[in-house]
Formats: sequence, C-alpha cells, structure tokens
Amino acid sequence: MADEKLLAVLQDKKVLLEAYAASSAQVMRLAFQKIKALQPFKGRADLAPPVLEKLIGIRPPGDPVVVGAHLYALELTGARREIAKGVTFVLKDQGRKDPHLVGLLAGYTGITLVKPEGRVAPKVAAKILRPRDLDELLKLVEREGGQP
Amino acid sequence: MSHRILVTSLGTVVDHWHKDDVYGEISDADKATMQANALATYPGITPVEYIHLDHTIEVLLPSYKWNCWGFTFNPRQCWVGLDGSDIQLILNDNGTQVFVPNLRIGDVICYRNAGTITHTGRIWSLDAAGNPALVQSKWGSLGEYFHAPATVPASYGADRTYWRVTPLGGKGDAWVKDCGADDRLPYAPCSEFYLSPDLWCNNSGGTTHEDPHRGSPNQLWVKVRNADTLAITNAEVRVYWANPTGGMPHTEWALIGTALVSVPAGAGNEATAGPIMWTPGAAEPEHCCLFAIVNTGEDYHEPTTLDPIVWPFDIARDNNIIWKNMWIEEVPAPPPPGAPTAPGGNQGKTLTFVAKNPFNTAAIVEVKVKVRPITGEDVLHMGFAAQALTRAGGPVLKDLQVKPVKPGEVVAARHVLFPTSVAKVSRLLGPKLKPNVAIDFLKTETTWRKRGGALHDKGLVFSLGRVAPGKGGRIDFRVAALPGAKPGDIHRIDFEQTVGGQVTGGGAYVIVVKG
Repeated sequence: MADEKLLAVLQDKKVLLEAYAASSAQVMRLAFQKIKALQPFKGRADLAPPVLEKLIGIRPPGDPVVVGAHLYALELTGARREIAKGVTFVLKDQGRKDPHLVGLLAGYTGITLVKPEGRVAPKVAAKILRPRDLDELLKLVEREGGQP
Repeated sequence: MSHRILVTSLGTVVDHWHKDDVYGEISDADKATMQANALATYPGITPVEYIHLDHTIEVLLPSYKWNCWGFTFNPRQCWVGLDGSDIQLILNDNGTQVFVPNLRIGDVICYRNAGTITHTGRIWSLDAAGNPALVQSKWGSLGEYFHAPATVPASYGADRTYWRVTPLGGKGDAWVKDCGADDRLPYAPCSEFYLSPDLWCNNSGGTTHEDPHRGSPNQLWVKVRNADTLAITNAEVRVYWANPTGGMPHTEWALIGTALVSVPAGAGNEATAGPIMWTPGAAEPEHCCLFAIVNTGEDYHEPTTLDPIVWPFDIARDNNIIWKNMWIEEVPAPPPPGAPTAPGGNQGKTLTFVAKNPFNTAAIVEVKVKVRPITGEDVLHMGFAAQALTRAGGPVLKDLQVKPVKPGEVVAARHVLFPTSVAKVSRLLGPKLKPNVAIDFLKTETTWRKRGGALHDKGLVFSLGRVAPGKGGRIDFRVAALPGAKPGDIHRIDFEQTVGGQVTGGGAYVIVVKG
C-alpha cells in the first residue's frame, strides 16, 4: 500500500468502524488491535513524522476515533520522539477537553513509552488509568522528548 | 446532568460523562454513513426503534449521547463508566450472576475480552431452552441494535456472562407495579402483567378496582412509586384505553387523560395520581383495556428528564408502564334443586376474549384458558374486591364500608376500610371452593385448535397457528354457575396469550355468582 493510502486509513470511518463501537478507551485500543489495515504501521518509523503532522493538524475538537487511530499508528511505528510529541500534544490540548476518552487513549500510548524505564507510578504501570493520572503521565512523557 | 451522582447499592460512585458536551452530536450525514457501514459489516443486526408518546418512531442511530453502559445502567442519558473496571463495580455491588436456564428477559449480558469488560447489553428474548436469542445493546458511538449474542465486534470478545442487576441509585426511578411480585426489573416474575394493582377505577375514591360505568363519568387512579433518592416532581401520568386483546400495538392505545403527581425522595415512597375522569361512550367497547404511563419528560436525551422511558409502550419490559385487563361479571345463581326452571333455563353469560399478534412478523398465536375459584391472595393482588364482593352481598360487605357517591362525583383518593392481609381476606371468603362455574366454548369465525391441557388445572391451550401481524381471532364462550354454586361465590377465568413463544398479555374475568 502506498504511504498516502496508508495514511488515509487513519481517517477512514469504514475501516475504523470497530473503534466507533467502543464504549471506552480500553476497548478502542482493543479495536485498533483488531483492525488489520492499521497493522502496516508497525515498525514504520519513517511514517511517524507525517502521522504526527496529521495528528497536530486535526482541527479541534476532532473525532476521537481519528485522533485515537493516529496515536495508535504512532505507537506502532515505534518512533519514540514522535510518540512523545504526539502524546504530549494530545494530552495538553484535546486530552484536557476530553480526559475520558481521548485523554486516556493518549495516556495508554504514553504508558508504552515510559513504562520500560520503570519510572511510573504502580497504578499507571498497571494500565488502570483514570483522568486524574494523566497530569503525572504527561510530565513523564515530556521528559521523554515530548517538549518541542 | 451534573446534578446526578450515580451510586451503587453499596454507595460506590460510578463515573459518567457527556461526550456530546465535548464534541457536539454526530452530524446527520455521518450518522447515516456510520449506520450503513455497521449494517453492512454485521449482517443480521437490526436497528432499534424508539416509539415516542405521540407515536412517531425514531431509529436509534449512531450518537455520542450514550454508550453501551449508558443504555444498560442509565436510561440513555450519558456515557457511563470510564472503562470496564467501573462496570465490574456495578456488577459486584448490584448484580447477581445468573445462568441458563434461569435467565430472564432484561437480564444484563456482559462481554469480556482477555478479562476486561468490554460491552454490556440486555437480553431481549430467550429461546425454548432458556438461552439468550436476541440482545439489545448500544455499540459505543454507533447505534442501538438487536443482535444475536455472538454477532458483535470482535473486540468485545467471546466471553459472555449474565447478570441480574438492580438499578443504580441517583438516576431517578418513578415506577409502577405490573403485579404484586414486581421487583422493578424488566419482565417481573409474574406472567399476569396485565393485572396491575397500581391502576384502578373507583368512583368513591377507594383503592380497589371497579368496572367502569358506561355513559357516565368514572374516576381512574394510578399509584406511582419512588425507588430513588431523587424526588419525583410533577410527573405526568397518562392513562389510555384500548380494545381488549392479548397483545396491544401502540397505535391502538387511545389517550383518556393525564394527571400530575409528585412523590418525595426516598425508596418506598408512593403517591396516587388522579382522578382522571373518563366517560366511556360509543367508541369504547363494553370491556376496555386500561393502560398507564408515568412520564417524567418526553425527551430521553434531556438531562433534566428524571427517568426517561427506555421501552415505550412495552408493558412487561418498562417499569413506567402498566396494564389492567380485568372485568367483573355477574352470573345468575343456579335454581335450587327441584325448583322450576325459568324459561330459557340458566343461560349464564356470553363473554369474549380477543387474541392478536402485536408483532411485525407472522408468528404462532396461542391462548391458555384457566378457571379457578378466587383466593384471598388474588383479591389483594388483583385489587378488585370492593365492587365484586359488595355486589356479591357476601360477608365481606360489612367490612368494606365504602361510602356511596353519586355518579361523576369526584372524591379524594383514600383508603377504604379493606382488610389487607391474605389470611383475613381468605377467612372472609369462606372455605375454599371447588370450581363450580362451567364454560362452553362457542364456535367463532376463526378456527381455534385445542392443543391440550385442562381448564381447571394448568389451563386449556388453544392455537390459531401462524398469524400475520395485526391479525388474530376471537374466543366466544358462555359461563354459567353449576348446581351447588352459591351467591357470592367468586371465580376467575384467565386468558394468557402467547405469540411466538412469548407471553404478550392476557385478560381476566372475575365471575361473581349473583344472589
């Protein structure tokens, strides 16, 4: 699949249908994992900059599934710096308006970034995220390079 | 809905939020696209329709206003829960796990994926073995659908358990009883959900049911109960009549009138709405069904609506809706032994029950008929005693002390001096009767086939076979007192209608042997 087509998947309501059926951030992540069309992002660090660019370009308030798909795609690329920037951007902007869904989606992606360092609170490490945990997580992610 | 705090029975606060406050509602164009995508991707799912009180129908399309947990645990007003751990708290505090074959329509179905609760819905129907056949659930931001239990997005997982869950506190719950054993949950454990004790006609302000008088004003009353910590303020109680059948499409409900009622906060509080005046005229048949709906707001999306109706016009499923389908009839006492027979003999009385398929697909319609003497428990649960026993002139009469009023006179609701214990009513009824009324089934235009059973035991079952939507048939029968029956003897004849294996309703005649 050409890269442009792959990037277009992140806004395709039909491809992302299963994620629209989710009632929580947890279930939306499970849905993204089931969507085969997203899996080609895995290991494609070269695609991280355009994904980040598109994520930052989403006009607020945006569609939470589309925002979540960009975050998940970033996570799959494995590009730590872009992941950190994407998570930081979302948590500071959209995540404050919607900590329940988009905030938690960014949080779950953020955990994948900081957990290996062993520097997160036990609750965060256990992936039982609540909106009140997001500020702590944001600080940790910013240290990972999320700051511009 | 910031004024709401949803709590479990053990006081655990359950998170909820309003996605549409952040994002607005999904555009109509996007709703249509998402709905088309869902129906194409998951063949066999059917969109849920919501029937408004003005009988207009709304398809519950994709929406940000409520999620699956908002449908299951709160009447569509918000997104409940941040993740499955909140739902586990609800199940822990308010739920009891139930298993096939002891499932009930309305029980909660809970989906898990790798141990995480992903989705919930409510059982819509059961198959003959007691397994869930259809589920009703809201799919995240997509629509509300009827679907087979296994027809769901893969992310929900295949691990399914079933739970009977008492309602959360703090969401408001104005309710009315379908029967004495009603527990507020859908499909209360009573097949006679067409004999609500909370809806009655009494022209003396009493709390027992009398047959309405034709051509003169009657007073209808509805008892409204509060089960929640939020007060019910000026709820609208709507009372309807309809031609009596064992299954009632909403289009046949005719509004009689409305009354407002307020019930203080606190479980166990109740208040009576009424009187709602009704003068049955030429349009109404001799025997009418009566219905009542407790309406705390027409718009279920509106946060100020205390307790939106979840299943409009669905009596057994929704605890805001009740049905009274009971009529009191007198039959002549048999002549004493050796007395000359009156010209024409002891004719008894000709009565009718009408069966109808209320569903929108063809289905097998059956009616079970049972006859038995009344019991003290029946008297209390059916709430008919004042008129029937007064008419019968039996020993209960002196205990009732119902003050007579002129036709049309309005009096405040009050409790008549009526014995309230089953034991006392049973004692007043006298020794347990043997069945001493006879029924002859008459030939009708429709062909009924006897399928077996016994009238005086578990019931005699008649079948119409497969019947088209809206169609049905009439059972005409004559009822007469047998030798040995005494004035004041009371029996009940019950008609229970089943359509496609599901009880859709019925009716009961109270037969009083006249002096």
